[in-house]
Order: sequence, then structure tokens, then C-alpha cells
Amino acid sequence: MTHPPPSSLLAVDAVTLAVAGRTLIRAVSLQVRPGDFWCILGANGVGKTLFLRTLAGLRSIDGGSVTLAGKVLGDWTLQDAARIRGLLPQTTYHAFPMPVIEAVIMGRHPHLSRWAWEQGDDRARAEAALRDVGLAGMAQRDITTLSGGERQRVAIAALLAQEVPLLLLDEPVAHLDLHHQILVLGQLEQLARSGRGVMLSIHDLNLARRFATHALLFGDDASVAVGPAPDVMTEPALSRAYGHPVSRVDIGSRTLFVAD
Amino acid sequence: MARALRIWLVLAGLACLAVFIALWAGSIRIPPADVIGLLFRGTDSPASEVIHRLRVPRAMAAFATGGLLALAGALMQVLLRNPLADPYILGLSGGSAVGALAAMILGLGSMLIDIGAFAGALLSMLLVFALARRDLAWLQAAGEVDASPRLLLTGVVLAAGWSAIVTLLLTIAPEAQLRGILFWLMGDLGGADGFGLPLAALVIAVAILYPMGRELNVMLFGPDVAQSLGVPVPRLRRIVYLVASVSTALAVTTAGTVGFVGLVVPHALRLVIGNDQRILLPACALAGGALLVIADTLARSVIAPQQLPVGAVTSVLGVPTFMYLLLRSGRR
Repeated sequence: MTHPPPSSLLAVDAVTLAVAGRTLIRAVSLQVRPGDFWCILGANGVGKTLFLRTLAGLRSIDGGSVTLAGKVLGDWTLQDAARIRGLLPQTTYHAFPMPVIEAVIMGRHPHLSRWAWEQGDDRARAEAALRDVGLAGMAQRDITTLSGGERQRVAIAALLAQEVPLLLLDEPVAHLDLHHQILVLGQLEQLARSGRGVMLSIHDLNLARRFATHALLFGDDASVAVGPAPDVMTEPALSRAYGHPVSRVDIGSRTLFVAD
Repeated sequence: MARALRIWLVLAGLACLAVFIALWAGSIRIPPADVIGLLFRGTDSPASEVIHRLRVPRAMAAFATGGLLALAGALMQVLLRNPLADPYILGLSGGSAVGALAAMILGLGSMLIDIGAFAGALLSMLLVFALARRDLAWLQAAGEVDASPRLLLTGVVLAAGWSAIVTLLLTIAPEAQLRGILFWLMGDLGGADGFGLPLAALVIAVAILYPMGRELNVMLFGPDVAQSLGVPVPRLRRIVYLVASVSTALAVTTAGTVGFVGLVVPHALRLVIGNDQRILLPACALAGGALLVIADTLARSVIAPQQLPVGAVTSVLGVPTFMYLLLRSGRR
């Protein structure tokens, strides 16, 4: 990485997103700084995936601007952008059998030149990433024989092996069991603490409240609440956004949200 | 890298062996020792004539056709992320069959039949391209829903349409031409003249694709992952589709519609050497070529002096091989 550490990894300025003429997201502004752990909350179909894909540069913006590490998103070359931000899509589908480790080494792609082959160093990073998601012994397993949750963790490991300052994840823990949800979010929290930026969408309010430093809550009327997680995740705001009454319960230092 | 070279060397050795057998086997027996001597230093003898005028062109045409078909199959499988994709399934061969048949029925010469076949394949390619253009060219449409099934379906429906036209043409074709047409539809290297163009195309295709090998590997994980890892997905898709289409068109023009090579060769190689496109694509060119050389040698030797269409042989070899490999991989 030759870029100096920027004050904000990602600056979203008045971004508006529309699908088929319908405005899903209106004028969102936020900054992801090193150390931030953002959780994107909202009901199904409000545009969480759309928003993440847009920030990753996979989709054009219908208004406003996105700046990645100090430069307008569209001005980055694909390879340079891929060294700065990584995206975990909601689902990854594997049509061909291959060893798990190969699927993780894929994350090293942006760091290699056209003619380079993956070296021992890339393999070591991929193996470390597999350990981080609790799949240390699975390197040689055929990926098509894994369960859905294990495959999801392989995809997360590939993102970790990409070693980017900004990680965008679309529902990374949706298919994981309780232990691995905490393991994966804990890994991401550690990465944030070491100076990276994390932004992920999630449906579990309690996990979000536990790990997030900041939250983004999409309402179904294209409205958005942005800010530090405790300020955004309030009973009335969550109840309105999900269209279902949500109550807050405090147990010791922990804050829980329960659907009534 | 060392592993890649080892694999290619082994396959190149097998391909040389296949070509040697093709030069040696046939109704006119030439001692094996003489084959190589005559190959490099031709004489006036009938044996030399047979090798240089008949067997070398035919073996080279078979090699080029097989290599192009296997390569096109492997590319279509990456493009659609489906191990069952194949140029035939996408209707490319159907289009060229219609083009060639139309030329035959109109009583045009062999040159124009070739041009008809090539035009048919390209037309078919353009149709799929136009109908599925959004999916090939535009990430935005492709990303949200995986477009591969739609592209595959577009091809399958087109293939069905071509096959209906072939049936129609067969019905109205003069009876005297039926046998030639049938041979052509099943694939036949007997009429193959000129192997320079397909062979050169095979070399060029491999040279174009090799530097994109790792990007193609990443493409296997879907358009979103690939693009976010820095792969220019729409551009790569167009290149891959173009190379696969031209390869298929040349293969069909050379040998008619030979089936199964594009399906079986990449599949078998993947089970043995893995799915790294940097190794796999050149390996497909070599192994596909070797396979078709052997298949064609069998086609002209099994019931000699009668000849079988090579497409029948590849089907007879292809179906059981496919089943065996499928069962073996399931057990592992």
C-alpha cells in the first residue's frame, strides 16, 4: 500500500439510489473512518444490498457522490480499488469442485501482476485467513461438499486474504451458527480496531448493538438514520423501520432488543 | 508453474503419439520406422504420398478441430459457470449446420458450404449475443440476479430453433444429397482440406487467453466477486464469448458438427489436473486435439475400407467416459 492513511476510507455524500424509477435511498451522507464498525439495518427490500454494491463500485449512483480513500470512486482503476475495498456478496455459488484453499487464495488476485503466480506467501495469508474463520483443518476439502455456513466462512476468509483497508459485507453472518457469528464479527471488530473500516448489513439487532460503533438504519420511505450505534438504535426508530414494535431490555452492561 | 509445464509436456507427448498412430494406421500399412523417416524426408513412393497428401492433413485438421472444440467448451463453462455448457448447447453448431445445409441444397460448391457454415455459426453467435446482450455487456443487470441461466436458456432455445430448420431442410433436400448431409451433421473429417487456418486459430486463441487465466479463475466466483477483485467483467466476458464463438465456427467449418469434445475434455482434465484456467486452457487445446486425432483414426480404421463419421466415434467414446468420470468423482 503506497497510499497515505486517509482521514476517511469512504465518504458518502448525499447519495441517492433508485431502482426502476422508485427512489429507495434518498440523500445518505456518512464517513467510514479507520476503526469504524458500521452496521446497516433495515427491513427486507429497503436497499441494503443495493447500497453496499454501490459503495463497492458495482453500480452507478443516481445522485450524490462516493469518495474512496480521497478519490472519487469512479476514478479508481478496478485493480487499485480492489486493493482498498473488498466486498462479500450476500451469496456465493460454487459451480465447480475445488479445494477450499484455492477459493481463499482468489482473494490475493488484486495484489498479483498479470503474469505472477500465487507464491508461498499468498498461500500463508490464505491459510491464516482460514484459521481466522475457524476452518483451519479444511484447506484441502472440496468446497462443494461444505455446508452453507462453512461456504460463507470460506468467502469471508477470501475477503480477509484480500487484506483491504475497507471491508464491505452483505449479511456475512446470516447463515452462521451462534459460535461462528461471534467468531466472525469478533475478527472483523479486531480488524476495525487495528485501523480498518468495516461496514456490513445484518438482521440481528443484538449482534449489531454489541459490535457496531456506528449504524445506518434504512426506513421503508427512503428515509435514513445515520450515526453512532446507540443514537440510531432506539426503540421508536427500530420499531418504525421494521414495522413491528421493538422493546429495549438492559441486562447489566448489555443492551438487548426484543420483538414484542 | 513447474507443474503446469509438466502437465503440458505430458499432454504434448500424448498428442505426438496420437498423431504418430494416425500417420501409421490405415488400409495401407507403412512400417512404424518408415513413418517418421517419410514424414521428414518425403520420397516418390506411394507410402510417402499417402502420408503427406492424406494422413498428415487429416490428422492436423483433426487436431485443430478437437483443440478448438475443447477450448470453446472450457470457455463456455467458465462464462456460464456451468460445467455442462458447451458450444453445441449454445446453438452455435446448429447455426453453422443450417448455413452449410442451405449451401449444400442450393448446390453450391464446397468453398461456399464452408462459408455458409461459418456464417451460420457467426449469425448464431450474434443472435445469442443480441438476445442476452444485457447479461454479457452490462454488470449492473447481471450482478443482482446471476444471468448465466438466462444466457444458457437463450442458447438452448436457439439450438432448438436451428434443429427445427435442419429437419425442414432435410425434408426438402434432394435424396442424392442426404448421405453427404447426414455425414456432415454427424461430423466427418474425410472432406477436411486445409488445416492451416484452424491450427493457427488454435495457437492464437491460446495465446490470447493465457494472460487472462487468473482473471478467468476469479470469474468462476461470479460477476460481483470478480469485479470487486479488479476483474473487468463485461470486457472479459465479451472476449471469452468472441474467442469461443470463432473457435467453434472454425471447428464446425473444418469437420462438421462433432459432439462431446467440448464437454468431455475439459471435464476430464478438471478431474485430473484441477480447475486453474492458466493450466487448463492450453491443456484442453492439447488433449482435445489428441482425442479427436485418435477418434478420427478409429473412425477410418474400425470398419475399413468403410469410414464412420468421427462424430459417431466421439459420442461412443464420450458418453461412457463422461459417465465413468462422473461416477468416479462422486465416490472420491
